[in-house]
Formats: sequence, structure tokens, C-alpha cells
Amino acid sequence: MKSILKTGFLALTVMALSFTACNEDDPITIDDSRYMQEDQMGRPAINTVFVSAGDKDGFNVTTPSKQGAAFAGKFNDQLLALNPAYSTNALGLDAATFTSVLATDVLTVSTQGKTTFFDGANVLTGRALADDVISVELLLIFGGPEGTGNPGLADDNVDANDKAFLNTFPYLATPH
Amino acid sequence: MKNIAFILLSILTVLAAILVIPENRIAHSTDYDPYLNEEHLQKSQKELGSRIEFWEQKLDAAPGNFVFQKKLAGLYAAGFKLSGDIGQLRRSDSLLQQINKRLPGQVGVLQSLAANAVTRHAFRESESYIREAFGIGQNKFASSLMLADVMLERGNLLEAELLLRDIASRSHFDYLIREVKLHDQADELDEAVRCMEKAADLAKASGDAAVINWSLSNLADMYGHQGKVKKSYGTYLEALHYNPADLHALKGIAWIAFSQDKNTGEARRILNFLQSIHPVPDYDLLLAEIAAYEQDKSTEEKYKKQFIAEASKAQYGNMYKSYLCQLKSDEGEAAEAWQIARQEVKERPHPMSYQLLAWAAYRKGNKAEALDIMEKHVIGQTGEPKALYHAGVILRENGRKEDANMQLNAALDASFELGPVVAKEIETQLSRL
Repeated sequence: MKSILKTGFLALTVMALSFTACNEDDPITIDDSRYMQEDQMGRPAINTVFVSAGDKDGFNVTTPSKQGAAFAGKFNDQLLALNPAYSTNALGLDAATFTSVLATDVLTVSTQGKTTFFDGANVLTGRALADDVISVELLLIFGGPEGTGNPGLADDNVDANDKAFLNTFPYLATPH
Repeated sequence: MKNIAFILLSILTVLAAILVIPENRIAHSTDYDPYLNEEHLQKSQKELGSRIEFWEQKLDAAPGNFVFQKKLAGLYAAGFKLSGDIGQLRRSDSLLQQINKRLPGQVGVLQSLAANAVTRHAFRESESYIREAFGIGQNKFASSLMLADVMLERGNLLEAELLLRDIASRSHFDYLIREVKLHDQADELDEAVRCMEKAADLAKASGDAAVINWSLSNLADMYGHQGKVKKSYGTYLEALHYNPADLHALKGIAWIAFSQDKNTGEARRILNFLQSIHPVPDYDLLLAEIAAYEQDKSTEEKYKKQFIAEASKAQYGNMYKSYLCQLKSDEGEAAEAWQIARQEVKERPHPMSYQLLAWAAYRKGNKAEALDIMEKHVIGQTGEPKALYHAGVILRENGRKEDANMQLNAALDASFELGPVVAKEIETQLSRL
């Protein structure tokens, strides 16, 4: 075993108030050794677009029921930064109402009726694979009350997956 | 009659020595021969190569796509670790630089740039990337760990400790291995080993072969530092079981064959194999040391020259500067060594850089200056055996016999880690006290 000479004390004073020992009889807990919550996403791209880099860690570990209170104000600022002319959108929501909906980042699902992100009649009753989710979000952010504003920004211009979805499980298209 | 008995006894003693000594050897070729096979590395390289090709094709079809660039940067950095081809590390860096220029402030990109800079031993550059990432705040846990790494390299133990204390979470593997480093740097080797054993347990519980292999390979190094050579050997073999292409473990076994077993032929055989499949300058240095042990001066010089020529190439940047500095100090180029050491101290103001600076000063003939550097920046601030040895020599040269004795004896305790050549030098030094 290496015996160590310590005649100086500069480094030592730092370590003196150091960590407790890795004792042999310490139980090994492995609950979070493999998994750590890194991301939280209910509606696609909302966290990505509305949460700043500095808030990301906090948002990702905030329970959805508490996200509204903690982040709605920041979402509102970000919405008005993206679209300073925002008044209301096609759902008739003003900025504060819209962002308080968005800040609680969950995907709502209706157990009755059609499952769709938005099909013109049903709003947020779920999400089907072929739903044009990003275009819907862009439309609600940039499209104005009639859904006709900022046509260049209100559509991602990708109308379908580049590969057909499957009719049976797992329903997603096969990998490229 | 008496004579015959004496002769018989002598013969028996010699026979016993011949028969017994190899039995005491720790490294046995039957244990590791299956791993001296280039197919293991080729298999890993082939897998990685096909992934690189996949993303290169994607990038070709969509030039400038930063998602593909990021993927490739990670794969090339991994490729460098496998192949030793510095070109792959440069390709990784260049992709990351392109993204960072076009889309600055992406935490993941900054973290990758910082990690690559550490690999290149460009610690100041690494610090600036990781501080930027830390300041942005996203994924702060990883940024804290990486900043602590850089602080440890740069000799700032206090900041490293404060960073780690903020995120302390012993059941998290990534955190725990930083605590290992912290204990190691504070010369709490036994505690460092205990934490590393825990980290290896966590790795095993995760079932991830790459992480298990990494943990065991590092644990084996640390057992070696403790002088527990047999345990070290067994742990290298266990590491190889999880990753047959673990060249670091094979290098560790070569060191055991040389330093512990004095089985130079076997050590050379392993190193020659490694050199043939993994063209990095490192192996020349070990081969030179084996030649020095065998008092084969011309071979020793050949390997040293080969190492200096290769490791001095601009493409390696700072990677081999500390080794070059040490070599040049001892090869009569102390003035040049002094210049390298001064750069090293700027890049990495760690006691291990200062001991190089002191050694270069001593070799230049400035023994008082050497002692001054040692006392201000090295003695009592690191327990690294090489530093203890150099400090001992410089103390002795300055007439501080008692202090020299303490340092040299402490260094000698780590004679396995230092190797038989240096151990012998230390004994010579001690005999002159």
C-alpha cells in the first residue's frame, strides 16, 4: 500500500471537511443508477420551443400539475417573442389562456369519440400517428384568430410521413 | 562427503529456484492468450464503421444537417478511442465546431467539445466550453461532473469538491466515479478504491457490458496502485471477459508481466501485439523501459527516439507533452524540457506539472530553483509516486537528507507502479544518503 507524505496542509484542509466514507456495509441502492429523468414531453415540440435552456432541467422534473403555475408566465413571454402580433388564435384563446394550456404539458385523451390532435371539429382528443401535429401547433401560434395569418410560418409543409404507417402493431413505419 | 552434500544442496537450490520462480509469477499466458487476437478489435471497429457509414450517407444527402453531424461527431470520438487514429478525433472536433458556429449555445455540443478537448489534453479550452455549457444551465448535472473533471485536471480540488457536493448522489454511477477521482487526488487511495468497487457493483447491476468493462479496467489500475498486484491481474481478466477488445487491460497485464514478474519476454510479446493493432506512441515508452531493465541501451534509445519523433507531431497537440518533458529532461535536453513544462503548468497547474518543471530545472543544473518549485507546488500536495521520487532526489541534491529519505521511501512503496528501473534508481538514491 502506498503510504503518503503530507507535510503541506493546503489540500488537506479542503478534504478534511470532505465526504463520508464509501463503507463496505453501505447498502447499494440502484434505483436511480441507470435511469434519470432527462426529458418530459406531452405535446410534441412544446417543451423544445417554449422552455429556455436554463429552465430545461427544472421543467423536465416538474410534475405536470405544477407546470402551469411555474411556467405559464414564461411561456407567455416566449409566445409573444415568437409572434409579437399575437391576439387570439383559431381556438379563440388569448395569449395568457393559450400559454396556460400549453404550460401544462400533457397529452389529453378523450375516451369517447375520435382520437385526433385537431381535425377541424375535435380539438386535442388525443393524437393519431398521421396527425399533422407540428402544423397544428404552428397554426395556433402564428395563424391568428382566423387561422389564416402568417401563411409562411403557420405550416411546416410536411403533410405526411415519408413512409406508410402499418395497419397492425407496432403501427409505426418500418425503420429506414 | 561434506562437499558432495554441499554440491547436491546447491543443485537442489538452483533447481528449486528455476522451478519455483515461474510458479510465483502472476501473469500466465494461458489466461490472456485468447485476447491477443486482433479479431476482437476488428469486430468492434467494424460495428462502429458501419454506423459511421450509415450517418455519413445521411449527411451526404442532407449536407449541414446538425443532427447527423452530432451523431457522427460522437461516433468519430468513439472511433478514435478504438483505433488511436488522431484523424478521427479531429473529424469529430471539426463537425462539432461547424455546429457550434452555426447554432451556438447548444449544451450537448459544448459538452462534446469539452470532452474532446480533455482527450487532447487541452484543458484550458475544455474549461471554457464546459463553463459556457454550465452557465446555460441545461443538463447541469452532466456539466457539473465535467467541470469537476477539468478542475481536478487543472489542480483546483476545491472547486471540484464544491461542484460535486452540490450534486452528490452516491447511487448514481456517473457521480460516484467522480468521487473516486476526488479521493484519488486527495491521496485517499483506499477510500478511492472502496468507492470504485461500489461503482463497479452499480455497473454490474446495470448489466451494461461497456460500463462494467470500463469500471473493472479502472479498478484493476487502482489495485495496482495499492500494490495488490494479484487482485489487479484478476480484475483485468474480468474486464477482458466483458470486453475482449479492452487494450487498456492488456497493457495493464503487460505491465504486471514486466514490473511484478520480471518476465520481459512476455511483456514485450503483449506490447508488440498491441502496437501492431493500435498504432499510438504509448507502447514505445514501455518497450524502452523494458530494454532499459535488460540494459540493452541501443534498443532503449531506439524506442525513445521513435516515441519522441511520433509524439512530437503537431497533430497530437498536448497529448504527450508530459512524457516528452520527462524524456527530454533525462536525455540531456533539459532546456527544451523546461519550456514544455512551463506550457504544461499553464495548461494544467497541477502538482504533477510542477514536478515536471522542478525536474527540468534540476536537470538544467538549477537545484535551488528546483527545490523551491517542489516546496511551493508539489511536496505535500500529491502522493503520486513519480512526484515523490523526483522530490526525494531534489531534496537530497540540496542536502536535505532526512526529508529526501522520507520521500524516497514513500516512492519505493509504490515500486510496482513505478517499475523496476525506477525502483532501482530510488534504491541507488537511498544508498547515497
